[in-house]
Amino acid sequence: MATTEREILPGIRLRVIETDRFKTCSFSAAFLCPLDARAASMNALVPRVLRRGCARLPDMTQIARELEELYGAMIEPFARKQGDVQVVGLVCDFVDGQYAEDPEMFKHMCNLAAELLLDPVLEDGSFRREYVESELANLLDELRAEQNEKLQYAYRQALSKLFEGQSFGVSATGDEAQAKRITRDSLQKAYVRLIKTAPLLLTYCGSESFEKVAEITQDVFAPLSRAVVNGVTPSAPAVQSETIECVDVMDVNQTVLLLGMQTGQADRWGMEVLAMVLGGGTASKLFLNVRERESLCYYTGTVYDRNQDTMFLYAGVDAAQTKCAIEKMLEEYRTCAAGRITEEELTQAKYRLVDRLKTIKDSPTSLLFYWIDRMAVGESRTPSETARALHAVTREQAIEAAGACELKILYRLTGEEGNCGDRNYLPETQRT
Amino acid sequence: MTETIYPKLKEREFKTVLSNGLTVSVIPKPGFAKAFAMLAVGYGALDATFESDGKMFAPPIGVAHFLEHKVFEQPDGGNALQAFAQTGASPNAFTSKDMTAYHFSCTDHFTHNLELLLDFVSTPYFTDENVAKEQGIIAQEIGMVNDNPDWRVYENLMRNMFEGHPAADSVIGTVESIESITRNTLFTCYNAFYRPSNMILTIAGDVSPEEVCYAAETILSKVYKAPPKRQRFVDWKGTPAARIEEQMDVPTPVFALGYQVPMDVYGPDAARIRILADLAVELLVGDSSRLYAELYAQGKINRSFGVSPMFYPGICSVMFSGESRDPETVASAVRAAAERLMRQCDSSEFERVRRSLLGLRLRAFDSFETICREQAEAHFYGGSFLEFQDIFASITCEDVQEFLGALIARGTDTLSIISPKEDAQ
Repeated sequence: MATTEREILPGIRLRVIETDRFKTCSFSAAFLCPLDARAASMNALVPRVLRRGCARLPDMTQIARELEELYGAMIEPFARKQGDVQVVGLVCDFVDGQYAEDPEMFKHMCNLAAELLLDPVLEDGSFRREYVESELANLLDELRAEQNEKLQYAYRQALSKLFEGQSFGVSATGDEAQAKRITRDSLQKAYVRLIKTAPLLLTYCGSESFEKVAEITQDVFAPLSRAVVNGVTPSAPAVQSETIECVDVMDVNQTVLLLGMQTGQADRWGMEVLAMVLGGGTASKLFLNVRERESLCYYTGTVYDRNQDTMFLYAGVDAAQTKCAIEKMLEEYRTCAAGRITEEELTQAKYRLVDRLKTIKDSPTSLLFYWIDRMAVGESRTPSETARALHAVTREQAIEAAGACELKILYRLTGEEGNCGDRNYLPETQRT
Repeated sequence: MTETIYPKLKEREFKTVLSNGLTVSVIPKPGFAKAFAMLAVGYGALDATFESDGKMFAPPIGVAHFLEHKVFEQPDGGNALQAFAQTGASPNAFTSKDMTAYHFSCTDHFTHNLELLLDFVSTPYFTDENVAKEQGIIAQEIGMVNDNPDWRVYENLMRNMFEGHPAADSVIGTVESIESITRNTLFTCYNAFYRPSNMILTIAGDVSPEEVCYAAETILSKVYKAPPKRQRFVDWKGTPAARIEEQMDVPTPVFALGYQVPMDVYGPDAARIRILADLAVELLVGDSSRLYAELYAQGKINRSFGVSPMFYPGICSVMFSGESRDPETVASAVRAAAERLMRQCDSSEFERVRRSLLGLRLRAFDSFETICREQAEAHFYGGSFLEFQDIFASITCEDVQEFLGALIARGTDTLSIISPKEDAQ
């Protein structure tokens, strides 16, 4: 599986993962921009409006028909974040040419993606009003509906509170308040800014060679000639000075608990292993002890984000068990920080991490997003290189990483009464 | 062991039935690091009444799912989940309306992990203590899903569409029903259903079919016992409620619209009926349909809108769902579009949709999980996931029209809505 990356046009980088093992090919064209509270929803809305039509196929039905002709190909808008970098664009999945009996499948899809990105349907020199209005309404509905998925919603809320005023607390699609301010004109300006100045990442996974993909993409994206491309550099978040307790009250049966830690200068590889030992799956300390031994919850685990230096411990618990659950979760964390990580736990955690990385190579979509996420923050480690780095982590590294973590937020989404700023559940040692 | 080659798909399948009745299906994936294995038991929420010791037995609702949790417990006090973790494998399980499946994926030590899978599923260990512990965990799982409006809208739809049929009951049960489950209940259900003749082992990966069979023959029971007799409810004829609405803390109403048609969806025609249903609903409400374009342009639906055919003994049902501020209009539009399509089915449109679904089916072979799950489901309904190209080619516009006609003929649609709480509006 050869992986090659090169700048094919000013500000346009192409990465090709060449492999003939899949029936599916994936291709993505995505812009990079700094994640910013005022622009996040706008940037996320741009590809949604572009997906509604281009000059040749000016409505969704015509696009859908073309995709059906292309053996059920898919092209969708997306917005992601990596730390304080936002990635917005289009991603395509389609049948490899050899199965579709059409050797030009990639060329067709690349053309369609470029037409949607570069040749939108315009009305008086701006996006078609109807498309902007309906996609904005859909985005607002989607932002409001985030509360339907309780754990994800709680995680986003906790991040926004931990990083209040910082871009790290902004979600990949922004928030309702900012989205409501979007107008047709402001969206058009954001679009022009993206295509004129934002770095463009093109990523392909499939059976075509780098040379062929480069030739097609250079030709198709040639109209996107730019004089100046603004580089996007990820930064590190500020460390919060005190620990806060936050609560959101909603009509829910179950309380979602999130204990957020900033990992500061902790070694990234040690943190990855620590997060797995503590809350990565069914052999983790949280699962074995908080769920299996104490029967306190159905789900519990950790989520580590190396791009924003955070590790969250989470669980869904009965509201009456909140205090007990917090104590037990923190107890498991403290066990790690005190050095009580066995060689067996360490080995299992590393096996699991390495297994995940090996699995990435068996899915075209996983490979595509692995590389988009790496390219967004300027990394170039292959899955195999990442696996080797994780395999080399020692028990001491994981323990040291635990020691470097600091609890900074205790967040609850609950049906109980409460106000942000209450300090009912913070451990004594964290109260100031 | 029979090897079947699918040249257009570039896939092969090794298949056999062992002397204990276990069906084994291996789809080799040379050169891939990952292997995926699924041991599926023909036991789900629909198996609400079955024969045990010569008598019909109806355990509490949710017992198949409860059993799924408990089968991981091992006599040494450990849990099989942890044994998999020693090699980095990812185990899991799920219970659906008609099967319980245990599975793992790994990139190393495949044979060891396969032996673990076969061993733990065939070694039940239920005690009063571990049953009580699981009641606490599942009560939390019920709390979690009940906070999810998508789950609630679906559960409400099923309850009102299938009154008197086990499809109406939640797979997970209720806090009350799981409280009445005992270790004896679990043993009765386990002994009835967890027989090799009522299971299939499906595997996708770079593995040896012979080694797979050897492990299954060595570890699982060597005695053949016929699958249990169960009440299939094939003659069920209920009267669905037209509308059910519940309020929750949601910003936009969530809806599910269900239709059902009596149809034999198990047996020789099952695979064809399922593909026909997929084609019909895609023509009706797929991205390129007139209905989808109109509803989307009017803001009646958004990209959360979807459709899924569902199959139960004797019944084919179709669920349309998503978010909408005007679910009633969506429901009327679906019916009107079906009537329109019954009158006129454009052949070029039909060909395009057929090509599209064929492409999607081809791409599904890149997902080992999908291959194994679909192959297990196909085993229980009497088909094969790999055999679809000829079926697609045999279906006509007229077949689609006939299917849609039957679907809406009874006028038995049910609309389930989760609406925002009035005091929150």
